[in-house]
Amino acid sequence: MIAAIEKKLELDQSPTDVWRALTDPTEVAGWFGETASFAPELGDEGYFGWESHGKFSMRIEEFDPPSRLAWRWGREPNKPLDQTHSTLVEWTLLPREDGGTTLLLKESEFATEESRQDNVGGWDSELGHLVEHLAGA
Amino acid sequence: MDNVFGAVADPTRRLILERLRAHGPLSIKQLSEPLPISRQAVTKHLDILMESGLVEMRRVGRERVHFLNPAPLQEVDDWLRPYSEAWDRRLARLQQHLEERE
Repeated sequence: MIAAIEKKLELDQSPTDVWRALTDPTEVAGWFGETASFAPELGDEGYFGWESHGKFSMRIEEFDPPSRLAWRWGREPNKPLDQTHSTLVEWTLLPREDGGTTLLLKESEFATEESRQDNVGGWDSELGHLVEHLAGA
Repeated sequence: MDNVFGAVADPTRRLILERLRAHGPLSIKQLSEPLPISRQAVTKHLDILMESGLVEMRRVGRERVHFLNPAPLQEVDDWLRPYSEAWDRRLARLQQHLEERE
């Protein structure tokens, strides 16, 4: 169990353009993996592919154009999606006054061997706060 | 490193860390009050946290207070960094992809 990864990106393009880059499989294959196969709709299951690593199963868990998108994806290639060996990737698109987009990324639910052994459930943000606190200290 | 990951794998121990972070040094009595477990159980959790180095103990008069030492969390941060860097590369490619499409 581990802190979430959070990133922010300022983009000149509109939320609609950014949304397309995140949800059109052909576009996603242009920057995320090498191949991407899924239908851009809630609940659809597909994969992200890398020739050198294999195919990582994914499922769209939130789909609210053009502002919120979430997918779950497997930690290990070539395996069906499984709640305990996957992470949740959440995208939030915020329109900027100048027409651009503030893009927020969060990937959470990382697990360690220790936490799997302890069979501890979902990760919460406490450690994230601690790590932030540490970084600021 | 396993000690630190083991220490933060338990929700009660994370709650103890969070309280020490938010409130500063606390006695076992103060730490036990909001928790639905016995003081003995809290002591056991504190032993594990002290073994990991995340919590330190100091005597103040007759009382023993526990305080947070966040330094070992750096190991957790270091462990996470490669995943974080992978996202930096992907987001840079997304930005490039959007610029090229225009």
